[in-house]
Amino acid sequence: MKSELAFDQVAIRMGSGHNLLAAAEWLGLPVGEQFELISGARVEFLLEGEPVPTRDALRSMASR
Amino acid sequence: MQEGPFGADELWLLVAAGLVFLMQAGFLCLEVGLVQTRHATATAMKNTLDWVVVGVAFSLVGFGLMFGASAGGWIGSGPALLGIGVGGRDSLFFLFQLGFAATAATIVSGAIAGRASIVSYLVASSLMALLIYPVFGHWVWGGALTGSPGWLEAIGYRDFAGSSVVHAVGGVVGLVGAWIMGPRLGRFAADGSTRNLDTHSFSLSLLGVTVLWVGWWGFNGGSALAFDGSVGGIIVNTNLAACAGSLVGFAHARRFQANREIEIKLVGGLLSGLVAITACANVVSPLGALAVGASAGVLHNLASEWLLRRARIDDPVGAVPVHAVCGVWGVLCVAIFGRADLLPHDRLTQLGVQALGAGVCVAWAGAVGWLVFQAVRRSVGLRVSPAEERAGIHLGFSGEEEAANSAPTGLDPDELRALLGEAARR
Repeated sequence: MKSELAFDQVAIRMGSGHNLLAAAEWLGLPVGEQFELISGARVEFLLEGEPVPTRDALRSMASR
Repeated sequence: MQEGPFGADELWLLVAAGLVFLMQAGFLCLEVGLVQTRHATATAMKNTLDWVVVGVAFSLVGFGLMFGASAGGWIGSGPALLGIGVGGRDSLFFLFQLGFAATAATIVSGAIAGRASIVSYLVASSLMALLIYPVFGHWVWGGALTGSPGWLEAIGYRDFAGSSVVHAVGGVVGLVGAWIMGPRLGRFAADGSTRNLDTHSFSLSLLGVTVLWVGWWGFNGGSALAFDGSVGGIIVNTNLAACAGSLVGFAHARRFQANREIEIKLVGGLLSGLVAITACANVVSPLGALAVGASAGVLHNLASEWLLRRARIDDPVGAVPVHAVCGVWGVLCVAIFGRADLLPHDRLTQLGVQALGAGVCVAWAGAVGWLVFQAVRRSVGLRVSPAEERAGIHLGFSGEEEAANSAPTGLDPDELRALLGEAARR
């Protein structure tokens, strides 16, 4: 069953600041890079500016 | 360099420099009023820092690059490299120009307000004063002290008080910054529609606009660089364009834009009239000034709607439609509405030269601004954390909430790999 993504933006922590990616930009990143960012706790998934649990975000990616 | 005694010209230049400095207070009130309440203090702080950062960077480097002896019309250098070394009348000119540099930097800070980190903000402001503003400024005004003109000035490009040099340069860098940085959290819904965010105090913004308005009398009137017979007419034209821009911006939004953000259109139209007349206040008639302001009011509204609803670029204070769009329009107005006997070329040739200069302005500011913001993005990141953005930006943010949100996900590596692998196969 296909479902909507649970997030529309992704915040990535850099050195002292953050960058904001649209969901499409995040989905365009290589899986290896996504893995590194998530396992390094550098990612926050967002829906209309509010945080979304990582597990929910990943499950929505997997079930699209 | 004239050492004195000073006369009315020098006194007027000092008064005008003060009025341009006062515009910093206007920008502060305008921007603080339009951002979310939780970001009000940080926005005020960043506006104050504009003068601090630009005051050092423009003094030490920018002023010399802009007004030093020209190397082929491309870059200034020589004894004026240290702006703090200027003396006599040139010191007054330096103070006046310092306010212009700070104005250009402030425009950028408005476009990226509500999410920019202090690092990205300081880098952008510094490079505006060190490089982006003075280099283009040299091309247009480089001969003001030395008599050796920049290359655009030499081919007859005219921008009296800086519609392109100050406003379009700041507006274009602000546009690039706002685009690369992305919108404030929650500005757009998941379906892409716009959402209204609260604003701190529109009354404060109106106060800021009024302060800017009187400051602009010095900005344009002082650009005559003498207290001669032209000053009164320049200020009258400045005032007329502001009134026309505001009235037409308001009426256009009521008639053609279903009253959307009509308060913003009223003050944005006013500021757009001021920006557009800045290039041509010395060459248009009062009727021409009304036409410049009125057309700027309409352009502002069209650009404002396109930027937000089509391009989906979040510019909290409307810096881009006011300064970038109407700055470019202002330099074109030199040829369209300027008195023929005051232009270096025939009207059509002048229009071509003005269009070339405007294009160069956009290309230079856009390209260097893009490089600067991309460099910050790839190195230390452009924004504050989502936690800080939700709580309110402040310089001493503790990061406790940020740490909580950055906690390990609870997913073991195998589960994480499986989910990402599944997603990649979709």
